[in-house]
Amino acid sequence: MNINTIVSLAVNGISMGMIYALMAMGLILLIRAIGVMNFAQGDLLMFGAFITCWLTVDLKLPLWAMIPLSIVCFVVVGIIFMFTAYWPLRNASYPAATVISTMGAAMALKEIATLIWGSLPRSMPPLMKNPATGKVAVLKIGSITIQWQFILTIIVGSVFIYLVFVLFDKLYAGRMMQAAAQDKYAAELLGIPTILTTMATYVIVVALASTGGYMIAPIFMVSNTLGTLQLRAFAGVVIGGFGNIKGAILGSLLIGVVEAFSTIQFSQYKDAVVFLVLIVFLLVRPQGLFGEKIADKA
Amino acid sequence: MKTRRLIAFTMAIAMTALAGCSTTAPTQTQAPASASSEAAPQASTGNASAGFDGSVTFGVVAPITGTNKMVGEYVVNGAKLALKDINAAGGINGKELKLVFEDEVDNQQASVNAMVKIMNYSDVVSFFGSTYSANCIAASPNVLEKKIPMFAGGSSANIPKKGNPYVWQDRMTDDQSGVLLAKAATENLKIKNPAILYSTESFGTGLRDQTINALKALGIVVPEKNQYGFVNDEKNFAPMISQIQNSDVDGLIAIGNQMPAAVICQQIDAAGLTIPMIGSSSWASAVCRQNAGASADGWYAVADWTVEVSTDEGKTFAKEYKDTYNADSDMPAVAVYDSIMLFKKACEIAKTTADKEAINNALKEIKDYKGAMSTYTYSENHCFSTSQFLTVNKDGLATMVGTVKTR
Amino acid sequence: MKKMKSYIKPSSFLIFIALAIFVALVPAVNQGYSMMILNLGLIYSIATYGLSVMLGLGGQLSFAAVSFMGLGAYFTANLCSGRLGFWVDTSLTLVLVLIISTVVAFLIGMILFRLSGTYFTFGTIGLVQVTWSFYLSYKPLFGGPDGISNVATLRIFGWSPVDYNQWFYVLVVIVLIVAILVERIRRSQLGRSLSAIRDNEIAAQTLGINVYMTKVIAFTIAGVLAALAGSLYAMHSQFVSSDMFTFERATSYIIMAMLGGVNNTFGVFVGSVLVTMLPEWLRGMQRYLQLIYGVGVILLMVFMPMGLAGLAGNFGKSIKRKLRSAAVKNAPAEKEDAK
Repeated sequence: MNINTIVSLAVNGISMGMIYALMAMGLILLIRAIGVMNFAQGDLLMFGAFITCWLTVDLKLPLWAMIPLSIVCFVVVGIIFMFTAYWPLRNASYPAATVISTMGAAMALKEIATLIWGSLPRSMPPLMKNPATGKVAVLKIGSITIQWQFILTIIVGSVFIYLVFVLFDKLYAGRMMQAAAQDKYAAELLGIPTILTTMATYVIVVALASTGGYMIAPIFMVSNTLGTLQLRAFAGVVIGGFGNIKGAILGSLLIGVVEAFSTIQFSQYKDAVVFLVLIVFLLVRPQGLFGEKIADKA
Repeated sequence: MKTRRLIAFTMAIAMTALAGCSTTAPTQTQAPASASSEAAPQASTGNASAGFDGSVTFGVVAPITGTNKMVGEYVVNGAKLALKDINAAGGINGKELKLVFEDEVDNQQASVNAMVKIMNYSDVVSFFGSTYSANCIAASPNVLEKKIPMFAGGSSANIPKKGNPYVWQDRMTDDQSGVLLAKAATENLKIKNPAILYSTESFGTGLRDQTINALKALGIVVPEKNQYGFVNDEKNFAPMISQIQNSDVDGLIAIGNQMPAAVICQQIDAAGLTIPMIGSSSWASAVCRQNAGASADGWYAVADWTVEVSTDEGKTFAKEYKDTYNADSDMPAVAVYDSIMLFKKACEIAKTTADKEAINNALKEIKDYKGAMSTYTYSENHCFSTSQFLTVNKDGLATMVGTVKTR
Repeated sequence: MKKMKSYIKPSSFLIFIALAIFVALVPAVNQGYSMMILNLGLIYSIATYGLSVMLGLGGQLSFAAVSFMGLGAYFTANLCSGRLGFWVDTSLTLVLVLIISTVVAFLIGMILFRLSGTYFTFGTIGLVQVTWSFYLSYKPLFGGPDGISNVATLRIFGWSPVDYNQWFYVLVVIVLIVAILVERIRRSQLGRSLSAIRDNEIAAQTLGINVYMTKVIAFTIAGVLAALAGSLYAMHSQFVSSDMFTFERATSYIIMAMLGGVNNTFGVFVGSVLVTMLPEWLRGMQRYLQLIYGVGVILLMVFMPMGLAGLAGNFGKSIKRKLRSAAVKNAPAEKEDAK
């Protein structure tokens, strides 16, 4: 094992961690806003990957046209998702009902994607190509080679994470959303349109997950099995601690890195290693990295 | 009080419905052809059906829906092609061949259910089992109980060795493919210190073990650290690839299904790994080549099938498939096609289309039967295939390097 | 519901009659294949009963059922297939499974319930992933990806079921015992404590309920039932492999419980059998099955979160209301608004 391996595993781990973090952030936003654990998170990522693949490969749109159009698509998907899987259930007497309806939504999303785009996996051109060879661009530092795609994933992930923090800490709209999440009744008394804030939350969640899908599409190919990635994001959320976005991001990054390095010794038990880390965390620090003991809302 | 009574009442209705619906299952046996047309649109059965003296039914299990749908399409298409060819040539012993399809979806329980369902149709004489080895193993107790010849679609060497005389394979089993894979890797690609990337499912670990044993016989030991396992829906191969890149191996042997094969090709190309590479059958498959595009170029494969096949029978099949479906054929299609042809051959030898036991015994007498995929000869381990193709992917095609024989 | 306690008898009688008809009719009109599916439904219902205790009574969403099913199934497969070089009597194995799973489930429950609510659920997902990974890859104990075949069939006092129809009777008896047990738990102090925890954990604590221990006990019961189901599955299918114990399977058990009515003993049974049979009935619509399934689950949660049993209950209530309003047509005391 040499330094090259360590660096490339670390870069891969962090970039995968970023993808998990994008999903985990969405999970936390939803848990905070409406107290629902979203089991369709991974399939939203899959759907986002399909949408961006459709726009770039089938419609052959250039990047400047693809980005606004895909944002429009994410907004539409987010709103539809909210009004089918959550809105009719917002007053459900049985709290588990909303959670289970997201499982139904996950199945439906997977099938809708198959019906629209077919069951064959699709490949997507890399975001950064080497103009000379037409192959994937790589960054060479000494003897270390790193794919630009991974670096780009880390950059885009960081930007999105930063944007979410700005939204919630600095912007009025974000504070409104936060207020609505903390106390819906009081927020409504203050004149905050909670339906709009919930809608905004859903749109952000879908946009985050879909961006993750877009970033991994060139590496993983676009197929309806991408949804399985969500379990790692779940693990990140738990490690991070209750409702804590910073914790979830760090937890997800940790999961990504552990996953990458576990292939050295236990490649066939990769899943077990990742989730054993989770269980060890539960044993040693059940409140998570940043968690305080707060009663669960869900 | 009324609430509970009503619950009970509703349940009672549900129960009756339950019983009622279950009764419809046996009636399907009378018209299995209709079940097949339901599962997938029926190909033209030819207009010669007037001259047939009765019919014979062959079952086909395929993943018609779910994650492996694309594999299912090949199976269904290949089976229908066999149906067309056989009936156009006068059927089996003068009887019209009929097919009944069942969907094995994408999980083992559904697959076993589908196989048991087919075995329970009273007029199904023999059937093509799941394309996935583990499912065939799971269904094998039922096959033994029903005493009905099954052509397993999977290639695991563990399928027929379980003391079950009714399980057959027309594909090359992994213990032999492993030898061929090791031989090609060392002789054609001159690999001396290979890394092995394998899928952790039934066929993947089986083929890995066989390959490692064969390599050992050739004097090459693959240390544990150069073996990388991945689960079937794994997407992120980059960590394993960078480890291979940064170690002292001089070649890669990869074992897996079509989907991971395509992803592996792509990620290896992206990582800029340029050592000699050879894969299992999937690397020559259309699914892999089409999805991986240019990144699949340069991969060798020890394959059951390639459209660039050199035998006349193979060429005929490849052309006919292309003409009928306007798409290239793939291994599952030719595997089911040849299975049905072997079934026909056995019926002709046994001079019956109804006696399962006789047909099962007749399968043992098959010798040097030229099929599309290989020349088939019965062997002790219930495997018919005698050869595989060594191919190399060039410009999106799996071109032939040669035919590798075991017997 | 509490008011109806005195009326339990006639309704249980009706359920009993329905069951008797079911038991008598079904094997008479079905053969091999459909009986196998039906038996699987019965086996799944045992695990689903465990879920009903956890989710229905305690309000704790747990995916761990498949982990314990795997425990029971692989334990049985190891002892009854001779792969370790010895055979253990199948009925003795069943007893051993119950004991082992009690211990294991209790210990794991103690670990997992250091978390609460949503985080507990995440923890169970972790457990499922870890166990599945080992079930798939660890050859010495779990047979690796090939699974374990040739598991001996159940043998009770020298008699063993020879076909699926005989298995059906065995399973019906076991399911009946489990159902009665769960019904007893529902009415016991444990059941009431669990409901109190579900409705308000803090309030339950102030009432002097040991919230942690109660949850752990419920988890243990669920684990034992799942392990029993797994053990029976191994003997019934004579084959075990990791494909049965994935996260996807775990969600289907939750859907089974929710479809029938998570808090209704009879509903859980109906839900399990329906979810198992549905794909078989809808084979013609395979292409859209998953979509129908997904949308169906959402609709189910929207319109009848308490499942079929809840629907039947509401239906009953509205009929009752209509009857009553017809009886007291002009009475002014009509305050029973729609709820």
